[in-house]
Amino acid sequence: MSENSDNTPDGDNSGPSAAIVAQDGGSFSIDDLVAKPNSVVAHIMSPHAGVVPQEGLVLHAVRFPKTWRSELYGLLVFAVLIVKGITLSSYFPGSVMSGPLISLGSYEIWLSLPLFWLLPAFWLGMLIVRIYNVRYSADERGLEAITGILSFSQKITRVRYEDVRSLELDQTLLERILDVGELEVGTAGTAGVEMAFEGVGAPFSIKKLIQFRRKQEESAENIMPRSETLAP
Amino acid sequence: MALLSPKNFMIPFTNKVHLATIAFVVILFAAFRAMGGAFSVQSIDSSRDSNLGDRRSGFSSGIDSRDRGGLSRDARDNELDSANSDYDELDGAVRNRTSESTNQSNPSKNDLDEIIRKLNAR
Repeated sequence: MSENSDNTPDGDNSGPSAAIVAQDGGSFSIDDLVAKPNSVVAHIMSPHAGVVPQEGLVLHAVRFPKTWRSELYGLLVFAVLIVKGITLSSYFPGSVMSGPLISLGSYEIWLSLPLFWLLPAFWLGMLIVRIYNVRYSADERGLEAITGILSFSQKITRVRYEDVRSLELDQTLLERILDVGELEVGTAGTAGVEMAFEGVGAPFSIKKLIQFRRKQEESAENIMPRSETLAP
Repeated sequence: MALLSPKNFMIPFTNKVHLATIAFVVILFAAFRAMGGAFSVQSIDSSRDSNLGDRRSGFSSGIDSRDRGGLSRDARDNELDSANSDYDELDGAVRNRTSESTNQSNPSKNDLDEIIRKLNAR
């Protein structure tokens, strides 16, 4: 069991590890869940945790941030642009533009802007948008993918665990080395992919987690028929 | 929880993704400085008094108007050194000529004094 300093449900966790928080405040990593699921489940379902087994496990939302490792090629281009920018700026000193930026009372802030710096700056900004533009999470009800957080149009896709029909893990050789990948979730309602977790870290552990939650939902349905569950 | 709580300041440094973002932004700023970029705060009055335009460019990075015109700092220093040496040579030449003229004028003055003295003697 790993310690998690942030026990709030909406706490911004650092990644898939150390992200699962039980109702009694105990925290677990997904790796713990995959390595020794019985002990984790036993702890969560113990009377000490205050969770009635018939009601199923109560796990707060787990966020799967898109990792920087998944943008490795973009980072390499960023490094090349920086080196080229420094070299070109030394060859062409006239590319450094100077002028007043803003006036604050009796003072002026002057900016000396190297034009070749704009290329890596723009590139890094694009990478940051790609990283922070999406948010993937798994809560007690299902999976959620929010895309377009930094865009004008935002799209929120939710899939319940009982609707998950297929989980496909797409990884290249480099992504397997870096332990990142794309997890595609298919449902019965759509022929293709309902949602895709792109560039998440430890995708195999996330896949195991989703499968675990899906089995748990199925067992809960067996214990309590769905008609009774949905009845008010 | 208060907005300005220590926890809110520490959260970006406990998250790996945010920490990597901060590191890349720091690298970008280092590249900005390495390419000659700079910020400077100047008083408007002092900047007006100091002949505006070219004089204003006293950035911390050392880039001035000549640098912007395509002349590097080393070239500018060499130019200043050569100008100073030229000035010294010219100044020396002027001084030599002045001293020579002074030496030439002194005999004529001595001659005149001699004439005056002889006239008075008569």
